[in-house]
Amino acid sequence: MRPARAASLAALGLVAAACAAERPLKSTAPAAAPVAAAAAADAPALEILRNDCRGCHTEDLLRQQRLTEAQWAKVLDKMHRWGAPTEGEDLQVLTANLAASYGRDSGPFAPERLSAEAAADLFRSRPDGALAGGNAVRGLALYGERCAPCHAEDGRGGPLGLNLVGRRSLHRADEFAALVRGGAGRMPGFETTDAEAADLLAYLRSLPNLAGR
Amino acid sequence: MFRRSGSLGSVPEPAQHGHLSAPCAGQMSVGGALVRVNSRPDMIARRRFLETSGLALLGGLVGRTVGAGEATRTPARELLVHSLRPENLATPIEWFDRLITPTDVFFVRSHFGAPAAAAAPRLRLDGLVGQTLDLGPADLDAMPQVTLTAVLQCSGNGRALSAPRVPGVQWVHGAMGQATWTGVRLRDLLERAEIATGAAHVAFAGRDVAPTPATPSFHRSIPLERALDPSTLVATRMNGDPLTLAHGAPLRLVVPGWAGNHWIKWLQAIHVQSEEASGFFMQTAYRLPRTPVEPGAAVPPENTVPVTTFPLKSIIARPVDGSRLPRGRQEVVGVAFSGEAAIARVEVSLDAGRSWREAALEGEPGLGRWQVFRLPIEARRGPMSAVARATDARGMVQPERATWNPSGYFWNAWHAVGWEVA
Repeated sequence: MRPARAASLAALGLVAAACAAERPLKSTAPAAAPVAAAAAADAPALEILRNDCRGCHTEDLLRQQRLTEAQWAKVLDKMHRWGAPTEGEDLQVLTANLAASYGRDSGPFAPERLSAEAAADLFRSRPDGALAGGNAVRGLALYGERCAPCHAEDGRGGPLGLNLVGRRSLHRADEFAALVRGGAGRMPGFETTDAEAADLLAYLRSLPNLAGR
Repeated sequence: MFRRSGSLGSVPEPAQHGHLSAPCAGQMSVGGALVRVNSRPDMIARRRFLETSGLALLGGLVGRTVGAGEATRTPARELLVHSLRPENLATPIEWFDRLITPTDVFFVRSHFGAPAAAAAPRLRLDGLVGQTLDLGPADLDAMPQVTLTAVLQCSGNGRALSAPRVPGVQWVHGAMGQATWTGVRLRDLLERAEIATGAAHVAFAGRDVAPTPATPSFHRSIPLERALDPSTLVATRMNGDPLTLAHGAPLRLVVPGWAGNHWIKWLQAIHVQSEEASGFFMQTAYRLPRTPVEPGAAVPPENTVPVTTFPLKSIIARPVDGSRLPRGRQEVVGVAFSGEAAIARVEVSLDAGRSWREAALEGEPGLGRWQVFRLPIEARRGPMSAVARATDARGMVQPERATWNPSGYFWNAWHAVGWEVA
């Protein structure tokens, strides 16, 4: 069991590193407390953030909010109803940490500047390279064995895994393969050959985007 | 399609903070804010004050000296990152000094992130019609093409200036832009499909997919009357080029004068129906209180109506708030627009609202279009400030203060900036 703690997420080294451009955020930890101790206290909240939030949101979206604890609780309740698995004690830990880190009195949010070229690249498909020419039928078998337990038989997501149909990463094969091999959040990495990754891609691309149908 | 999905959320409503409203209201006075500006040349303190007053952009430019000539230089080709996942990118304010916002610095808003590009895009139009349409790119290209100029603005533009604060992407001023849009009239498509008896609303769905089965899909509808308006387009091009994926390729709806949430990107399905679309993004989100409420008040859903047109607004692009400028001839320049009427006049005050001077307007007046306003000024050493207010063709004047609402939509208070002359 994780101890419920209300220290600041922002005191965490990893969060701080991810937002180096950001000014230091308010921490509820005593001023004299060594950073390492504060970080240890926040580790559970960071783990929840990684496991439950980052599949859909980068932290920048959280960092710009300036909300009371009651507002954060409502936001997280909505996210839970929309499929975020956070509940029980984890929910309390996360709510308290977000309220401490990104509360009403936190300083102004200074958005990072991204060159127009880098922004355009976010939306670009990339060549398949070594992952070209996969076989969707073989991909289906592989999918059923490794992915379906969490992402559902139809690929449209379940309590543990996100929807995979129509996702832009299906046209960014290198990112896709890195995700399958390295895992993310609650998802473990899978040893996957290029041929297997290509088959998985071919299968997932064959699933129709039914949004609005 | 467009059926109510299994799990519906509700808009997170901020807790009541009635105690904040009184002091904020006092600080919201433009005159008060600028008196403080003049009496406290310390830029940081002034900047902090302007933030709490909700009146000005907090640029990251405090203390930066702008060299002579920079005022006319092309701004940096950059976007401000509000979130990388999903992609929410704002246009820097310096770009609001011209009639057309270039596509590569045009703001991007997405709920679930841009989807995978369609290998063989189709547009389906069904529902209460005599004939279902299933069209490919060549079918649309063969129809009469229309090009128009219109502002695209997110209804949450300015949310960061809400007091008390509300959840959501904390846009300051950068969730807007003006572009030319080219495509076919939605009316032509609806006429081709033959609208059937009982049709009253037209609903739209894009290819962007909700991340989990419990997340509501992003669906919006507009009344049939608005769908038949000749300015409503199914666009294939933006600023003359094919739409980029960031801006909805291959197809996006264009609804001039109406907030961005109606301008469905990655459009793949149109459904003619008797009722407004169901689902979270129509029945819970993107709604405003029917009548103004006290800042911080919780508003029951039955007292809300869907957002539609965006209100009268003007924004000063330059001088940038918090900048330093050389002495001599400068100009106050920005844009003014409304989703409800054409712009008639923009006035600028250099003395905290005590006196106003009329700015010159550029561009064609029109509903849902912006015009550039420009006022030459002579800069003397010390702190200076400017406030802009627009008046529309109906005689309506932009309000000094924005009307607070639980989702932070449609901030349109007078925009005030302060700068230092070296």
